[in-house]
Formats: sequence, structure tokens, C-alpha cells
Amino acid sequence: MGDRLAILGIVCAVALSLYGLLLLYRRRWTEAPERLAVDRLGLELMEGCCAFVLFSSPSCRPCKAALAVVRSVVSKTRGVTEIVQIDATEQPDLAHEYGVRTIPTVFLITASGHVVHRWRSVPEHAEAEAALMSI
Amino acid sequence: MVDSRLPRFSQAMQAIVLAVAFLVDARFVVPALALVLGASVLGGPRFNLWAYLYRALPIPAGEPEPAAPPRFAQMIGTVFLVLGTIGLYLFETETTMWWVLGWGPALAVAALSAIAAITSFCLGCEIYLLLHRTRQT
Repeated sequence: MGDRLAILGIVCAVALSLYGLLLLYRRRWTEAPERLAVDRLGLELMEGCCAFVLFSSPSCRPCKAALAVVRSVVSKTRGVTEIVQIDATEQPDLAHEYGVRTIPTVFLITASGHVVHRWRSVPEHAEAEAALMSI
Repeated sequence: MVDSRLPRFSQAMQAIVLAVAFLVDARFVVPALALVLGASVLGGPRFNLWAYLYRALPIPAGEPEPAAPPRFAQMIGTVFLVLGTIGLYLFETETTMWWVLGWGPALAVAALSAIAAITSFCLGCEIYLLLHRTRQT
């Protein structure tokens, strides 16, 4: 019984250590960037404007859903919000630089490139709208 | 959709049952639990033994969540428990192979279930989501 308790303790310790390492790994690799370089995205945003930056690929079906959500939200803002779609397969360096590990990944940025929100899947309409209204 | 607290509850029960079985050397629990998990994977919530216990207890319902990821995690757990069963009954007791290939997979399931129950980090669910994303891209 004593030996078995010790083994169980070791198993728990190993599992918790692996979990801790995984958390560290995730934090390091999936941290959202604070700022996107607006000029590198081909954007010219006027003061007070903002943009949704969508990282996608041509064969990604959820990306189409993400674009539809973003378009729907933007249609209510009377032209002060732009949408930039970036093919992550064509610009893998840019995707890597901004910590894009999954597509669709959507950033909501201000005119200076400050990241207000990041979604790593199809954004919820209400959440995207709320994020936009918070600017 | 499934009540988000049900998978956590099932994982907690699995972890406790497997840990106790290991401590008292009740190896028959491993195939029994493989059957319980396997029935849930193949038959859905109606065949989930833990779901009946969960509903019988005064636990407030959680948020609904997709059922596919925890089901996939249960499938992986079943495979490990079947491997553990084979190891426990195929090799001579108290040998290295018996410990490693018998109790090893069972304890891995127990540890991952405990982590999932405590932290909500479900490795099987993460693998499912990863495979799902890979298939979509």
C-alpha cells in the first residue's frame, strides 16, 4: 500500500508538472500581440477609425463564417471600420509574427494598430459588436 | 450538447475510482471502467453510468457545451483502459511489464481525468479540437 501511494504521488506530480509546462508553452506561443503594424497590412486608417484584420485561407470554411460576422458588424458602423483579409498561407511570416496559430484569427485594431480584441475562431456577433462599441 | 459539469463529474469519478482501485490492487476495476466508458462512447448519454449518478445528486446544472470533444476524450480513455486491461491480465503480476503496461495506462487515464476535473483542461478534448481544425484548414 505504501509503495502504491508513492507511485500514485509520483504519477500526480508528473501529470501536474506536464500540465504546468503546457500552460507555460501556451502562454508563450498564443499571447496576443499588443500592436499590429498598420502599414504592413496595407491599411491607411484615419484617426478614430478601426479595422477588423482576418487571417484566413482559401479552403477554410469557418473563415467565410468569420468574414460574414465581421461584415455584418461593420455594416452597422457607417464606414468607419475597415476589413482586411490576409491569406495566412500566402503570408505565413506575418501570421507567425502576430501569433496566429489557428485560422480564422480575427483582430480588432485601432487606427494606430493597437489590438483591442483577438478571436481565435469565428467571433460571436454580439461579442464583436460589443468590442467595436468599446472603442 | 451536454451539461458542461457532467464531463467534469465523470472525470472526477473515474480518477477517484481508478486511484482507489490501484491502491487496493483491484485490477478488475480497469476493464469494468473500460466498459462503462465504452458504453458511453458508443451509446451516448443514455448509456453513461455517471450521468445517472450526476442527475441523482443535487448538483446545479452547468452551461451547455458541445458533446463531441468530451466524447472523443472518453474514446481515448477507453482505448487506454483496454490496453491497461490487456497488460494487467496478460503479464505475470508484479513484473515490470505488468506495472508499466497494465497499471501505466490506467494511471495515465486517472491522472488526466483528475487534471480535467480540477482544472477543466481536457487533453482528449484539445486533441479533438486540434484534429477538427486541421481537417478544416
